[in-house]
Amino acid sequence: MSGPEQKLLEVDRLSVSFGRRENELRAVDALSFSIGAGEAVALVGESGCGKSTTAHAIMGLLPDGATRQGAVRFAGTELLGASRRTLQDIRGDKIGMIFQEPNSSLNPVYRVGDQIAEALRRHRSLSRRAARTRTLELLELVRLPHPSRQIDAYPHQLSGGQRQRAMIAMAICCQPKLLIADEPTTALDATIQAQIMELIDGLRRELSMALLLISHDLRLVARWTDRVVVMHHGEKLEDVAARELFETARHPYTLGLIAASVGLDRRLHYRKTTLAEVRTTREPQGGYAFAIHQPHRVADLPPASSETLLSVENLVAEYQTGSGTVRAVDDVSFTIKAGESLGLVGESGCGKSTLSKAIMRLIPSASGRIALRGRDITRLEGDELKRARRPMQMVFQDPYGSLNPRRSVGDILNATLVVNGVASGAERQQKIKAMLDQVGLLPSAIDRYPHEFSGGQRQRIGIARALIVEPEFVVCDEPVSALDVSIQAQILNLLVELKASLGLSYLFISHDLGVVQYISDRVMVMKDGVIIEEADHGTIWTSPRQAYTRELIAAVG
Amino acid sequence: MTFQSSSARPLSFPLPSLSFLRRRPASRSGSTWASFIRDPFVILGFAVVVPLIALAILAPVLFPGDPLSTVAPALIPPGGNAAFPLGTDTLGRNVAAGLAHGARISLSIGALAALFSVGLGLAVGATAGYFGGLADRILVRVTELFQTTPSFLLAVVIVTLGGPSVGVIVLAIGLGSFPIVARLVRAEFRSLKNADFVMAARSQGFGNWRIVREEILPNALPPVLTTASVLMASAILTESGLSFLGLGDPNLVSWGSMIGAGREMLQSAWYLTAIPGGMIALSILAVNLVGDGLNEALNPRLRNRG
Repeated sequence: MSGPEQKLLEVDRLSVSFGRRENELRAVDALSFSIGAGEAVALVGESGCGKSTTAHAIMGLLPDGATRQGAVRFAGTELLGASRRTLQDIRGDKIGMIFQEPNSSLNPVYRVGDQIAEALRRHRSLSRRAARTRTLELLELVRLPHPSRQIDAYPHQLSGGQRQRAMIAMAICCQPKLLIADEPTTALDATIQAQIMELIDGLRRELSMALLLISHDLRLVARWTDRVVVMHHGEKLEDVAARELFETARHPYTLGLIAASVGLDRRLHYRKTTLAEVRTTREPQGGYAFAIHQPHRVADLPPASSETLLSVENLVAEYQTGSGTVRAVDDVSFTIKAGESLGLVGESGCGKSTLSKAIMRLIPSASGRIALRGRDITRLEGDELKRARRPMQMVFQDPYGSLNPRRSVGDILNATLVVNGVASGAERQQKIKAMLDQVGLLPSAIDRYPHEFSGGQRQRIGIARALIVEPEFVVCDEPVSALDVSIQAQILNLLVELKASLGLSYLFISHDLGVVQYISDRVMVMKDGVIIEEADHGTIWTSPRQAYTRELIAAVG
Repeated sequence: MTFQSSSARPLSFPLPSLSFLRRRPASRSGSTWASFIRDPFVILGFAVVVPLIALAILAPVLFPGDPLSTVAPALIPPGGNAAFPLGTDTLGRNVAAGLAHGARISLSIGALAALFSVGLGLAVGATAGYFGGLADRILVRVTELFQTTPSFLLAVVIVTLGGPSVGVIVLAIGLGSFPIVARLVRAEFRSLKNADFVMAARSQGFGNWRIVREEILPNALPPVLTTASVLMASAILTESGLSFLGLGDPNLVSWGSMIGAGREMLQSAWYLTAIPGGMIALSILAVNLVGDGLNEALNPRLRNRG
C-alpha cells in the first residue's frame, strides 16, 4: 500500500527543548532525516548533541517537561502527540529499542525469560506456554549460550554481553519494522562489541528490519550502517553514505572528529605527532564555527633513560567475595624506566585497575614487592608511606566521581598541597595558579565547583591535582575513556605536553587500543590477572605473539 | 537552625556551621533554596514554627513570673476573663502562660535531643562505616541493642533511674533515637569511602580524620539533617509523653504535664487537655513539613540538574 517513495520513518523539522523561557535548552533543533524500510541509519555525534533525545522523541519517551515541534511519521502514523494507547501499541511491537546499559535496562527481580515473555504477551496475546516457546526461540536467535537454562536466569547471573543479547531478544520479540539501538555496545568490551554488532546486523537482514543506530563512534557507524547523520548541538550537519564517510565527509566538524580519533589503523604515536583538535566557537549570530587545529609537536621529548623508576616484582593482589578469594592480580612483574610511558591494555575485569591501586598502595598486596627508585614501599605505613608515595600520583577515569562535589577547585588543590607539607599560604596560591595555567584552565576556576565544568575541564582539574605535588610518576587509569573524541584528543595532547615539560613517566591504563598505541613506548597486555604479553610499541601491533592480543587487535581493526 | 539556638537560650550550645550547604554554587543553590521557600507546605511549616519559637523566647516577657503559681480563681473557661484568654486550670494557673513557658521546654528538649542523637549517631555511624571490620561489627551490635529496645520504655527507665532533669530527659530520648542516624550515616560512609574522590585523597596522603571531615562528611550530611527534623518532632512527642506520666521536671511546666494535670477534668474542662494537645500536634506537623522541605532541597535526586 505504501509507494516506493514512502519512508518507514520520517523525522521532519523535529525540535525538542527543555525548560522554560530564559533557561530553555534546545536539545534538538529542526532535525530532518528519514529511514527507508530495511535501511540502517546512524545518528552520530558527541555527548549532548541530541542524538538520544531524538530517539526518545520517536519513541514518545520524552520527560513531561519537554516541548516538541515538527513531525515524526512512522509508516504514515504521526507519533508526536499521538495518544498513549497508540504509542503503547507501536512501542515494542512495531518499534523495538535497545539501551546502552544492559545492567539497568533489565529488571533485576524478574527472570530474563519472563521479561521477554511479558513483552510478547502484551502485544501478541499468546498463552503462557506459547510465549515461553517463542522466548526460547528468540534466545536461540540471539545466540545466548544454553538458552534452555538461561531462560530462567536472573539478569545478574548473565555477563554484560549476554544481558545485551537478552535485551535484543526482547526488542525484536514482535518482529518490529524498526529497531532503535542507543549506544548498544558502548558499555561492552571490544571483542564483545563486535559480536553484538554482528548479531544486530544479521538479525536486521534476517527479519528485514530498519535500524536506527545511535553512537558516538564514527568507525562503528561507518562499518555497520548505510547512512550516517552527523549531529552537533541538536542540528544536523551532514547526511552521508556510511561506506564513504571517511572519504566524502565535507563538514569541518565531521572532518575534525575523524582527524581527532586515535584508531589503531592510523598508527599515531606521541613521539611523532600531536593529535588534531576540533575547535568549536559560537558565533554571535547563534551558529557555530568549526576549525581543525593541529598543535605543534613538542620539540624536546627525551627518550626513556636506562634508570629504573618503578619496579614491581611478583605482585599478587586478592579480594574477598561471598564465594571465596579472587586473585585479581596474579604474580605480575614489570619495570618502568624514568621518562618512559608504559601502556597497559586489557578488557574489563582483567585486573588492570586493581593492579594500579595496589601499586599506589590504595589496596593491600598479598605478596610481592613494589620499589620506587630502588626503595621498597610495599610495607611502609603512616608518614613514611606518605613521603615515599609523593612522587607517585594518579589520574582517575571518571571526571565526575573523582572530584569532591562540595569543594571548590581552589580548595581541592589547596588541601593537596597542605597535606603534602607546603606550609606557606602564598606559595600554595602561587602554585595553584601556575598549575591551573599549565593544564589550560583560567585562574577564575579557583572559586568554582567541579559541576560547573565540562567533562574535559574536570579531567584537567584531576590532572592538576595529581601534578601539583610535582610527581615523577603518574598512574593514568582510563583517563580519557569517559570523554568525547574531540576532548580525548585535547587531554592526550595535554598529557604529552606535561610529560615533556615536567619529565614525567606514565603507567597508562586503557581498554582502548588506539589510545594506548598513541601514548605508550612499551605495551603490556593483561588477561585474568596475568601479564600475558609485553613488547615495544613498534612491534606489538604488527606482530603480536599471543592469540588473545591478536583477538583484541582484530576486534577494533 | 537559628531557632534551635534561640529557643534553647538557657541551655545554649554551639551550632554546627551550615555554610557548606550554601557554598553550593549560585546557579544551583539559588534555584534549590528558591524552590524550597516557594513550596506552600514548607511555607506553612515555617508559618507555624517561627511564631512558636517567638512565643518560647518571649514567654518571660509576655508572662512574667512563675507559670506554676496560682493567679486567679480555678477553672475559668477560655474567653471567660479577658486577662486570661485561654482560661485557668484546676489550681487557678494561667493556661496561656503555661503554653508559652511549655513551648520553651518542648522545643528546647526536642532540639537538644535531636542534636544529641545526631551527634552520637554521626560518631557511631561514621566510625563503623569508615573503618569497617571489628569496630563496625561491635558498633552495629550496640546500635541494634538500642534499636530493638522500645524507645519510650527505655526513656521511662532512664528518667526513673536518673531523675527528671532536662539533661537526663535529653539523654533518655536521644539514646532511643540515635540508631536511626547511626545506620543512615554508616550506609552513607560505606558507599562514600569507596568514591573515586576519596580514593584520590587517600592516594595523595590525606589522613583518615581529614578524609572523614573534609571529603566524606559534607557529602553525607544532607540526609542526616533531614532526619534530624523528624527526630525533633518525635522527641517533642516523647517528652510530652514522659511529662504526661509525671516523669517530667516537676519545677517546669510543659505541654505534656498540662495534659497530665487536665486529664481528670476531661468531662467538665476538656479545653485543659485539648489546648496543649493541639499545640503538640501543630508543632510536630510543622516541624515535619519543614523537614520534608529540607529533604527536597537537599536531596540531589529531587533537585534540578543544570
